[in-house]
Amino acid sequence: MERLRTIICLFTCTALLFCGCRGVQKHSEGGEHLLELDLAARSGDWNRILEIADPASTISAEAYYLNLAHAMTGRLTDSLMYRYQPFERGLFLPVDQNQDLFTIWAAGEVWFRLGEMTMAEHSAILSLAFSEGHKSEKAFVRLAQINLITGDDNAAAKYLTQLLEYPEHRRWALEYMPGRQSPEAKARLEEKRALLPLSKDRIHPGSDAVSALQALMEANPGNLTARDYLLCHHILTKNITAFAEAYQPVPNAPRVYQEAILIHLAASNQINPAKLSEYCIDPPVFEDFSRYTDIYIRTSGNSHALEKDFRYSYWFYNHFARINEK
Amino acid sequence: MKNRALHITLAATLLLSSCGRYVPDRAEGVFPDYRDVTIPVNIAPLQYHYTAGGLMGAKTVFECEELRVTKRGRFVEWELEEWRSFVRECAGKSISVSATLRHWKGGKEKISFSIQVSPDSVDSYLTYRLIEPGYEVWHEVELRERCLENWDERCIATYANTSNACMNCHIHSGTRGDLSMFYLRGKGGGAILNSGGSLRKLRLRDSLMVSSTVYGEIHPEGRYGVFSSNIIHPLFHTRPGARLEVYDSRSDLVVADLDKDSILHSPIVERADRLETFPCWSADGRSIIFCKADTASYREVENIRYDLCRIGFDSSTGSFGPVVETIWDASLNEGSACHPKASPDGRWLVFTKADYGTFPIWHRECDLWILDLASGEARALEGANSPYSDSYHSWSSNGRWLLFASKREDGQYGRPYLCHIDDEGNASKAFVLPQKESDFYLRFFKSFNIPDLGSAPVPFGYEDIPNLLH
Repeated sequence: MERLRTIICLFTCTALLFCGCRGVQKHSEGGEHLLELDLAARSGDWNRILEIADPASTISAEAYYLNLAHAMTGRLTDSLMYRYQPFERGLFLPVDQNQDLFTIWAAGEVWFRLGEMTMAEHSAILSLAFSEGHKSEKAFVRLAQINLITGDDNAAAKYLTQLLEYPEHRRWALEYMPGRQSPEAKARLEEKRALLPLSKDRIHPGSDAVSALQALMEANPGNLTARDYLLCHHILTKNITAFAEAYQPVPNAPRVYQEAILIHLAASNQINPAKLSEYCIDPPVFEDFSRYTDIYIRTSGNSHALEKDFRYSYWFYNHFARINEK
Repeated sequence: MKNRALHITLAATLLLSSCGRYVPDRAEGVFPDYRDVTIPVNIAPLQYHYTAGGLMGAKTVFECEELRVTKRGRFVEWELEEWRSFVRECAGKSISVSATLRHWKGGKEKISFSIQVSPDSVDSYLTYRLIEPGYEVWHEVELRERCLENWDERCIATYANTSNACMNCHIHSGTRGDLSMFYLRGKGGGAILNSGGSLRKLRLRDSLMVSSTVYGEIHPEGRYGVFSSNIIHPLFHTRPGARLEVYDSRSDLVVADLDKDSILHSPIVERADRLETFPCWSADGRSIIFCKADTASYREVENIRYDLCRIGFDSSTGSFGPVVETIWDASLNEGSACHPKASPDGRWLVFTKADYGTFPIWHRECDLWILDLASGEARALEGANSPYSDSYHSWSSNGRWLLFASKREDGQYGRPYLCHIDDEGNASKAFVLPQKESDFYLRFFKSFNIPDLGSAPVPFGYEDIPNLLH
């Protein structure tokens, strides 16, 4: 029991002093590389992002696109801790007066893919405002897509009409023009509409990603991408209590979820065989957890002692990752 | 053979003439929809086009008694002088419009409608802010003034010489061009008062106020202004189409003495348990009409409903009346009132009715309502309203026209619409402010924010503003 109390103490007192490779840079860095990631994301070419994005890059937007690509291929959690994670900015980019055009634009991509069209539209409208001459063809495309999906045909028609002036979009615009849509176009829109949170409305501040994700999941429990984003948001922001409330244990759950729930169990003094079974904790994960805790206690929380074996564990992130405010 | 060649040439000409001006088909058949509208005699030409696909040609005849004007082609666009002389002759009469559309696939289509020309003029100027329909973040905002009798438009304040400052909408005192104000936010900003062409920057804030002044109106005599000060929280709906919500966690009313740049308070309209907002003056300036609701958390925003209330004000002493009187009870009317504006003759009050809350432009259900201030009866302003948000109206100085922002075309972009108000407070079918090119609104991606009528141009321009920033 004494040992467990020590573990609890350690995990509830996370004075984070150092992290060699996991800081958050405040600014967004542009450049062709990010534009290439954006282009791949817009066209849904997730493999391209996985191919070109650098998991060790400390650019928030790069981590954001890489996480999105993993999520869209059903693997957000697989190597979450093996990639640079700038806390929640690896999942959601901020939209406010302090951000540059690229960040404001990019912020909408994840919401569009998750089925949250209000946030996606907000980002696209502001991108239009910030674009050269207040006309951006990619913003027009996205606004047309959003309004087609939400069924706001008059708004969609406005953007599609504008797109007819761009030769590369003309065919697409004609195919999706309300009243003239092909059966294939209609089917694709129906597929997208399945993700919309139609059943219940939630009102939330723009910075409250959690409420938006909860609405998506309540409306559509099958939206597994939204579920993973919610759980990973709690994980990356170190909100273990919220994670434990949202988490539904299943056998063979992603390792990072098991690592996170072990912190919760330790913090709430619930490490026992029954709970480990209830939360479907794999024995090797628990063994690693015990070993991590031993080293942590023995070295008085020396990160160097843990880095070799555990630098890619959530426990290490939870203990040592900190925001670099520079 | 000669006829055939002529037809081919004509067809090619028609095709070329419409190059680059794709027009989406619409059920109404004409865009903008100027069918069966009532227009002021001094309005700019009603430029429009036929929306049917596959048009080979069109012939439109405008007739008003003996007068007859013929236009050819899909785009029906007038020269200014031609329109003016025609409409002047038609004042108080109806113009009959008959069009014959010829389709490539063969066959003809007839479209006919009428345009009623009211002898009542509308004030010649309109100010508005052009901005994308987002919030929290802005970029390159401008205030502009348009002459409604022609196509002239000029900038009266611009981001370009104010360090990309956010600026709030310009309001006239009544429709006076020589007395008006707007806000310039950010460093060096303030309330910019135009008084007889002389611009002054006012602070309009004291330590008792919860924020700087937000919504308001200048007293008919010009010395005072009534304003709300609001703590505003922008919010998002998750339900698609509902989009944005704006919630006030606190709001009070104050009267500002514009001459002294000082604030007058009354505890009756600054209650911590009440939200008081959207104040306006009665036509005689002897009372303040405003919206009032109980405070609630943002999670309960759908339960916040604003009444319309009235409190006396004595401009000779600068003092508030002793009681607040409810003139439209939200709980009895299943709605929430915002943005009241009294008609110049004092008989009517037009306001926006939403299902709940205080920010009409994103509430699709928002409609204009008219309250008879003598009888206390209120009703929807049928004719003016649409399935999308109709809000932020402005009375003409003769009380015959109401200009307001409507999102009826696409649900997103606010456009200035005009409707006639008759003796009984009935509105004619509203029509969008004409532009030089009929497809202007299809290609314009900014909202006309808080359109406000003026009887004369404001005597300043954007070049005068930077001097006030220091």
